Amino acid sequence: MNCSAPNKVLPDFAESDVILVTGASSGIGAGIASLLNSLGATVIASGRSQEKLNALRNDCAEPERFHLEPKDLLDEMDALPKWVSGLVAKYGKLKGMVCSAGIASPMPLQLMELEKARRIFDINYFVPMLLAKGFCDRRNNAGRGAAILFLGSMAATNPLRAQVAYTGSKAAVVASAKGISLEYSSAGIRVNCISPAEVATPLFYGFSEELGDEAPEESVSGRYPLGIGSPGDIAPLAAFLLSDQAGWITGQNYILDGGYNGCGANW
Amino acid sequence: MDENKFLALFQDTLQRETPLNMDDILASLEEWDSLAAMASIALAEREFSKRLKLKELKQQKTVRDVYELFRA
Ligand SMILES: NC(=O)c1ccc[n+]([C@@H]2O[C@H](COP(=O)([O-])OP(=O)(O)OC[C@H]3O[C@@H](n4cnc5c(N)ncnc54)[C@H](OP(=O)(O)O)[C@@H]3O)[C@@H](O)[C@H]2O)c1
Repeated sequence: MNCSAPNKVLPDFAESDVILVTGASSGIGAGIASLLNSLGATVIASGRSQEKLNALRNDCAEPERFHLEPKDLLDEMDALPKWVSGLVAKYGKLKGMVCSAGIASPMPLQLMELEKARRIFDINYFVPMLLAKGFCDRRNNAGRGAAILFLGSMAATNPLRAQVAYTGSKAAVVASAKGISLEYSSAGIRVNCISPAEVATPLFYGFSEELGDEAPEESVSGRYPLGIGSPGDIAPLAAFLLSDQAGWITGQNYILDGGYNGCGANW
Repeated sequence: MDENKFLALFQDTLQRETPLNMDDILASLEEWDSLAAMASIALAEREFSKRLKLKELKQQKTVRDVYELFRA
């Protein structure tokens, strides 16, 4: 996935703008990480798969400003704030952080099992909160103008079937993002969410496959007047929200849905 | 707990880069805000088994006052 800057409307970043992106090895996170790199930022790309991270770095605009930090974020979750401090010691204070790492697997209420539901909450909710705790430590961020971006989901407000735990984890992220924005606005840290509808990534295909859907893109295309999303539809807004151009925006949740909420119901 | 250990812990609680002195005036510290005060109450409970009210803490003037309050 390579999102290069399509035009001058997108913000510029400086090399000293260090931005941590989790979930950078795939899908939406990969799209955001490569776009930020092409716009000038120094990117710390995290994901579990070293192989996928290597491939992304090979494709990105400025590989020397694209650092790989493979990690399973569920390992020693309690120590995530310290992990962030370690990255800061290595690469410098963080201008931004994108929390894109996440999982989804179909779980209707009838099939809800505590352990599986907790795993969804661990990676989708507690991991981003603990990373935010590390980021908001004033020794770890660049101060005024630093920004966090969480990936919520349209499912938080418009759940689809079999998403009971997933939808709850994303609603929790969106709500807590507002809380964090309130606590840290005086420090000049901005906190926002992007909540996409369905985007064609391994997460989407995996979810559909588990539901037994053999032609997922076809099945969902009727829901979205502008068609199913791609990571390239998400990355430009992410770059904007992390940039100083969005300096007066915090505590917001942007739903990117290909027209679902605006005109989808009558489409 | 001796003064040096307290200073290190209190500095970490305030998420402050530069070391603190016992005579530093709380109100003059950039990091001393309501979130830092709440974190300090948690520190008192964790390290000194002392339950404090925000109001008591806010009445302190210097870092030393906080140390004495925690130890009292
Ligand atoms: N695609 C959609 O339809 C959609 C819609 C709304 C919201 N979202 C949200 O957008 C975010 C990105 O989703 P996506 O579609 O880009 O999914 P994706 O392509 O499956 O990517 C998920 C990323 O999360 C990482 N990850 C998962 N578990 C991890 C763990 N335990 N430790 C570290 N990293 C872990 C994966 O790393 P590895 O691949 O290296 O294992 C991968 O980089 C998620 O938070 C998702 O909930 C997606």
